[in-house]
Amino acid sequence: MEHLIFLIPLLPLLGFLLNGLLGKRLGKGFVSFVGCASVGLAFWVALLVVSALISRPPEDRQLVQHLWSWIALGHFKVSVSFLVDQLSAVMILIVTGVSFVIHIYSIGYMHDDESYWRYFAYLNMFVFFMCMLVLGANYLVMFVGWEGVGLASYLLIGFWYQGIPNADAGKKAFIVNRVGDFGFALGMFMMFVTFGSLSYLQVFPKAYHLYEAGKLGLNNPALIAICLLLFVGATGKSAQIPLYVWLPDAMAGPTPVSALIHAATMVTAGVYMVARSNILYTLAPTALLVVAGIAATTALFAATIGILQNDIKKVLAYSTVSQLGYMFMGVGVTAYWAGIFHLMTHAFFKACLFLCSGSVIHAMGGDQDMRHMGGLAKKMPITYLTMLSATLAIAGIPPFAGFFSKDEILWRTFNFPFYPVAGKIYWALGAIGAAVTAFYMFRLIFMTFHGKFRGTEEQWHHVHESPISMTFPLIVLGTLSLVGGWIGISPLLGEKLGNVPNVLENFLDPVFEHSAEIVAKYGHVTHYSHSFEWAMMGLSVLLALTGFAAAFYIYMIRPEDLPKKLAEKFAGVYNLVYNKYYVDEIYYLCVVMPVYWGGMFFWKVIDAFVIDGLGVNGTAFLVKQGSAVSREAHNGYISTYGAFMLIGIVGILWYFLHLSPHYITDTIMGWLRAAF
Amino acid sequence: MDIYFWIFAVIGVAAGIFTISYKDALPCALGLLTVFMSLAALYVHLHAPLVAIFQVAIYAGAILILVVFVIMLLMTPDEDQMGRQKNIGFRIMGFLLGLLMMCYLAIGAKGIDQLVNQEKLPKGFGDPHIFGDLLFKQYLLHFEVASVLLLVALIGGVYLAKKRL
Amino acid sequence: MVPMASLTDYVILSSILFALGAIGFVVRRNALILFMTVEMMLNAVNLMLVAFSKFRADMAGQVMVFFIYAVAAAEVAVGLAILIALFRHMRSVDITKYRLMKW
Repeated sequence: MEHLIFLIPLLPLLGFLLNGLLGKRLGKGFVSFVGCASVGLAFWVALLVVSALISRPPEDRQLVQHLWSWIALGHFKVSVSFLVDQLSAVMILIVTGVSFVIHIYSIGYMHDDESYWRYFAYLNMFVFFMCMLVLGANYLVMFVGWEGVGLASYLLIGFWYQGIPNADAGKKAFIVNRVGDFGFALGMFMMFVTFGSLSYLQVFPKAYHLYEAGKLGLNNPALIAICLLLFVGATGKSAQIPLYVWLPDAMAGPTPVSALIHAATMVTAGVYMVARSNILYTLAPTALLVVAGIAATTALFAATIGILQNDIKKVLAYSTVSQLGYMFMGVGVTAYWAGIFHLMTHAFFKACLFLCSGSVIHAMGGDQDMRHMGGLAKKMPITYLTMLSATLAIAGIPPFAGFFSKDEILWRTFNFPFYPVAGKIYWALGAIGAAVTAFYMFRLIFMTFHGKFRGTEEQWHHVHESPISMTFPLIVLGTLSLVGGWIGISPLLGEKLGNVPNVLENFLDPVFEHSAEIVAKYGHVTHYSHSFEWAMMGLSVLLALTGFAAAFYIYMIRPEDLPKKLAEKFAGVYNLVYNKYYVDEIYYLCVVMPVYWGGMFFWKVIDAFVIDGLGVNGTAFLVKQGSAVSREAHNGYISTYGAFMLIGIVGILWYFLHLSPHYITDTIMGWLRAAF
Repeated sequence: MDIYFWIFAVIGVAAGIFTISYKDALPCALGLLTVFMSLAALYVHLHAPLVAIFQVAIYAGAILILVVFVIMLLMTPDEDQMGRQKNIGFRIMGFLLGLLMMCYLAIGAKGIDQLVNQEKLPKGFGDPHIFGDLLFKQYLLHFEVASVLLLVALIGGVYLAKKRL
Repeated sequence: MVPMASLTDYVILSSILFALGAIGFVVRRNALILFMTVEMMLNAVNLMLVAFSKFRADMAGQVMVFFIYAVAAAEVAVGLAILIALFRHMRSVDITKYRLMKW
């Protein structure tokens, strides 16, 4: 089935070309059909490929398709090849599947938009690049996809470019991404210098063999540098500290875009990258410490910002940043499968949350402010139920999907093999973050769907359930938010439930087996008793319920006075958090303004003054002044010209004869003596 | 001590200095005449009698007459005030440069005696018929070109002398 | 036998005359006298040529002198004609008045 792999990116690319070139003329029906069919077919091909993969024995699950040799410069050889192993299988199914669902949703959501064709063209382009990213067999093809999804993100965030804030948000996303991409590129350069190749099938075996032969110890500085540089790219793409600032602004784009790109797929590219490079990260535990640390901090930090936001999409945006932190925590503590597991469940419930919010925004006629909502549950039952399902998932309430993935991550973080102490700290951050997550998500639910409606009368009349094209994807995703976690049930629970195997972990293990081997050898894994593990599990659920209870108390029982009183009492903290810790302002002062001043300096001083003024104009001035002086030589007097000729003759004579005055006087004396 | 040479050399140089320093034009022309005549004498001494004749005939006889005629035509009383360059620096510079050039030329010729063919001159050296032989056989083309040049000069002179150009 | 002056003497004399001509050319203001100094320079060259012709026993030097005469005559004719034409415009032979060809 290898020969079919290339179809997976090709079909969305064809969709992009058809929609982009012909879509405007051929109308909405054509655009919708081509847009959804291309991704749907890609999903189907992905299923075929993955089933072919599964039919092989576990050791042999690797399908490679080599398309053509792209770059061949001496030792630097890169080819366009695709690799499907268990990891990319999971990713490609998530990408194409969720994309397909969201494409269907977009038919209804973007129905009234006049640039309908452009939207689907960009969306297909995005899916194409995301498939390239996930399927690539070397870092350069991944980077092509990496950059391409950044481009698609920029285009889609600024989709309604007529509004300046939208265009600005698109620019911000692209520029901040670019900063990360710079780190990624540097990482690739170092990787080539260190390993001589960028291909997965060469770098990873080489790293492992060097380790086995004893030539590559843990924490080799070059390896740490590579891993950290690649992670810089991941902080940009996957919105971690310090490059997360673009994600909340990215909510200026259409809601399905936020769902697909900024929740389910593009932002997870960084996690995929780290999981793919697992052997390199495992061999550089210091890099893992950094990754997990940043991740844990981001998880809590973003969650705290989310509790005070009033725009429904902004809450979800910060939630995404926070959940991405959890994913990186998972891969950062060498629990790679857990990070991917959370990626999968997050794709389901976050996409569901975004699409539901899109449904709500649609119903509210474009208003995204939760302070104008309330009591919508009666009028939008399907949206309400699916959103509730997704919220329960994200809060980590069993048996919903999020519980299994989040719990696994927290447990493994607590047990960080290389740095147990750091692991405990990170666990604490993550656990508090879980409570805060539950709090703000249920705050969202209560403010939106319960209580009294706080908007205008005509808004209330307009509120209606969305059409089937929008609710069908909601149902699909809501269901997946419930059942999606059941393929990753941890062994402890699995035994209790009748020996249910951890399907996902078993499936993904071969990809990470080298890492597991290294961790087993060098990591300090404390074996806790089963009861302790149960206690931890219970603690996670308890934290989630605490968050729920707090939200319930504040926003259901005393919604009129308590929020305001708390805001007044803790005014300083409130303002700080409400203004997102002023991170954007700090960046503006510390990064943007210096660059601006630098640009102004280079423009006004160096370009205008030095190059234009001194260089170009100055040279002309010098020439003019010089010629003003030298043209005086042509004063019209013949004798002057004669004098110049004389000077010339004397000069030539001097040049050819080289007589010194001494010699001249001697000779004259000699003659005079001879004459007389 | 070649007395013949020395006499005419001194006369020539003195006349030259007189020519370039006197204020009025006509005495300068006469000084020039003296230079020409002394040179003609030196040519005779150098076994070139035909050249001496040409010197007298052409220079003293034709060119100088022409110059004197023009002096007569163009000289107005006011012009007599005109002499040398007003700028003293110019004169000093010119003098120094000329001096320098003279030294260079003279001293550059040091050791030129080695180049000289000291053998005896062939019989009849400087005779007109040998001269004519050379002129009309070996240098015939040059002769013809010179005549064309004179023709052109003639036409040019006639044209320039018209009342209205 | 009268002792002959050596070639060096003739060269020195020639260069003195040439230098005098050059100095006069730079220093004088009367256009006519400028002409005369040019003729003096030409004569210095003629002297040099004849001297070399004799000391190298080659008649070609004298023939060259002949051509220089032809050229000098032509040059004086045309030059004086130009000078007269100029005089008609400028009413003067003072070269400080001939400043039209300046920058």
